[in-house]
Amino acid sequence: MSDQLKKIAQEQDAGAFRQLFLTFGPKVRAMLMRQGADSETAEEIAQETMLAIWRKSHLFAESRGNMASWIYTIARNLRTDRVRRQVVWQNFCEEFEVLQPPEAPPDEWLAREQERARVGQALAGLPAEQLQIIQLSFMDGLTQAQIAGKLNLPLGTVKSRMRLAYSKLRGSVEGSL
Amino acid sequence: MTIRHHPQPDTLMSYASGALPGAIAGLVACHVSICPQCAGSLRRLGLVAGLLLERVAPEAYGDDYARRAVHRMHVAAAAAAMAQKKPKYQPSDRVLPIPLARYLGMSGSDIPWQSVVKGVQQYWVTLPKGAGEIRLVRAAPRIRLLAHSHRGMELTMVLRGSYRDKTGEYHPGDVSDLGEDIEHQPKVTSPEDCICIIASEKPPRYSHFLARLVQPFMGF
Repeated sequence: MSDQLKKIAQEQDAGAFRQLFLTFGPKVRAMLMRQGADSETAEEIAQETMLAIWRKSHLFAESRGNMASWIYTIARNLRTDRVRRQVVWQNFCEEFEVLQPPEAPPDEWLAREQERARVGQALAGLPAEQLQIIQLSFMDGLTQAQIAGKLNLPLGTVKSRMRLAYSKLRGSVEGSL
Repeated sequence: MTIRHHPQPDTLMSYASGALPGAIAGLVACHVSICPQCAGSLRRLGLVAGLLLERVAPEAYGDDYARRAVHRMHVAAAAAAMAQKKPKYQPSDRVLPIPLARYLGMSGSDIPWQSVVKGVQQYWVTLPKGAGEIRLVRAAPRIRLLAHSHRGMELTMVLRGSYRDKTGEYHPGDVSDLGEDIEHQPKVTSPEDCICIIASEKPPRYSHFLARLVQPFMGF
């Protein structure tokens, strides 16, 4: 996946981009529709998300970050702006400036890959009730109160499950930081 | 700057998923912009979001669609390269964190403070409908604010000076992320003015009936 991004960045390789577009475009579209966007808006935002990846690919390649999480963040910001009509406080690149310190050491890439693998393991090991809340939060785009309503749980229980899940995710990567 | 008080993990998680009310998200963005620890947490939450996104069953469209989309990308990229980039606002001082300074197009010294009572000034930030409220509050040394609890979320971030309430002492960069159930009465502890950002989902609830009476008039 990262090679694909390098090709896109260095050679402006339309074929590699097309592949990326085919992989992620429909996923972003599906996610946005789950979050209540109509089919047309979802398609528009999915396209624009991928366009941003195309335009900023040189930054992504340099920062050694994770592409799927960028794609998620860009789509989230576009949804905040277009669907929820709220302020995007940090556009993607600003968030990225903060998250990626320029003095990142050369072995950072490996560390990031390990971090991703550990987060993946931790996610797989979460109890079903915590994973469900994370899913509803990130993929369905629900607020804490909406999750509480949907699952018929007190708000405090939703918060505490989020905190428990978070501490497990955090514990899983502590060693690699 | 040593930051000791951070937003709660569930607040960060809702920030990462884009589910916070706009005002609260604004305050969290301000904190994250100066807090490496929370920026790291946000990166890990981004990894979670990315992993979940990879697993989503696609809502497919045809191959021809992708080809046309790539063509559009070329056109749009060329147009974007030609368009003049508007330079980002750079505040002249470091009082306001970058996300808020850019939103307001204002530096700390430009804030048009309005006096509320002796020793307390504030400035309301205009936000889109449904975002909740953000205000900047500036309180003189030893000022004690009215006791209040909150309806919904309320977060406070200290920009200058310090204050104390029963949950602890808060210095620049610190965030107080209190639940609805906690009543508190902040008191300024710094020798200079204490400047804070207060973001709330709904207006606060004052304990004293007189304060409740004047609240709508003072906007405080």
